[in-house]
Amino acid sequence: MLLIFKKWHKKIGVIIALFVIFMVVSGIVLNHSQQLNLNTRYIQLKSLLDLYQINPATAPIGFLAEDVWAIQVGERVYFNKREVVNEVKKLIGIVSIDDIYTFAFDGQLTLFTKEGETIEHLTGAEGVPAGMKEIGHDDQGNVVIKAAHGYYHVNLDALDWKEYDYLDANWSRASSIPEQLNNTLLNQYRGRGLTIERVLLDIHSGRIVGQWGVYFVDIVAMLILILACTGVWMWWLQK
Amino acid sequence: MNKIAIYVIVAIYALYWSTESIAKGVYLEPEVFIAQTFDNNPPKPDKLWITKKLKTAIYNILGHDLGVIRLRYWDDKIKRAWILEEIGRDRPITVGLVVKDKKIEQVNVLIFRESRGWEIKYPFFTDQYKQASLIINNELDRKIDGISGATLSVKALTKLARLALYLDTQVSNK
Repeated sequence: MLLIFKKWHKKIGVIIALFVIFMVVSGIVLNHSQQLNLNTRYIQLKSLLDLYQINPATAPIGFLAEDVWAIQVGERVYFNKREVVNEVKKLIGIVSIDDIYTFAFDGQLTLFTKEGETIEHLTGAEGVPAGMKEIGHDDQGNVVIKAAHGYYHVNLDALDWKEYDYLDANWSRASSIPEQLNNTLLNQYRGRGLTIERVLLDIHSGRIVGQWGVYFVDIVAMLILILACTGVWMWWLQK
Repeated sequence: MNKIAIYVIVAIYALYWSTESIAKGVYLEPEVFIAQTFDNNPPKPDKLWITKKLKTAIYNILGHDLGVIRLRYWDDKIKRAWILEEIGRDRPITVGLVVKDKKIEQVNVLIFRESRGWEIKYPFFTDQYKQASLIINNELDRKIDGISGATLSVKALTKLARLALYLDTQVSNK
């Protein structure tokens, strides 16, 4: 009996040794992923990005104000080529007044300098109306917003909001993005879509190759369990 | 036996999903927080420019730049309310803080976007910040007890408490 246990214990041990080493190392690394910045470092390998299908769900949409583009690629928004906001549902438009560029999205206004530095974020707490649909500007240099319950104009420095039944304005409209800029942003989007932590986690769990990978890792785990049991059992028999 | 196993698995999944669903989300809309803080009569927001001097101090508190050059706050001459954000692990946590007489009067987690650490929203935790003030090096005058599994969220909230007190002092000194 002991001989049979020994034989299988050795066989299983040799078969899964490499996997155990990998699981242990990757597990330790994942435990310290934040200290190692694995959650903020991104994979650039094209084949891996293709495997994970890292692409925006819809085509980029862009708004132009003077020489500044506000472009939404997936859930990210770019000031020309620089990513400035994440987790955006819908970019509504851009307005430029006195070299201050105002991006409107998801009930929020974000103001930028001409160089792309963020001035501030304004939300409902600062009076941004709910259900923002369009953004534009009037001839007096006020931002005009069409929202769910009416039209508003505001001086963004003083934050004086005034509500109207109707206002006419130069509304921000989507424009055709130059091909080169479009491609640059698509590449940038892909290059910041997949963290090292995510890939390591998927390799650790087997998910990197789909459901069969998970089953495989389950089998390895079961074999480790068998090793532990046979180890204890052999120790018991030899006592 | 099989039935019991299935019930246990279903119960574990239900518990997991219910925990996930209460973890993330908007706990209190920022505009509601401001309205509640000032009894539905909030003052117009003031602005604070982040000067070079402030930038350095903010960097020392947060460990990074604030990311904006102007901040809004609400001041009714009795207390000031601030809405600030800090990343816990991966995503920003939006927090409303009220400062009165250089001490924290109230802390509310408004929006929580992380998948873990949401327990910081409960009063049993946020009450620890009440009446906290700044001492040397812009540290809090007290030790904040952490929550197991929410270390990074606790750290983020403590940084924001320090930041609100520091910014409040700057406004008072204006």
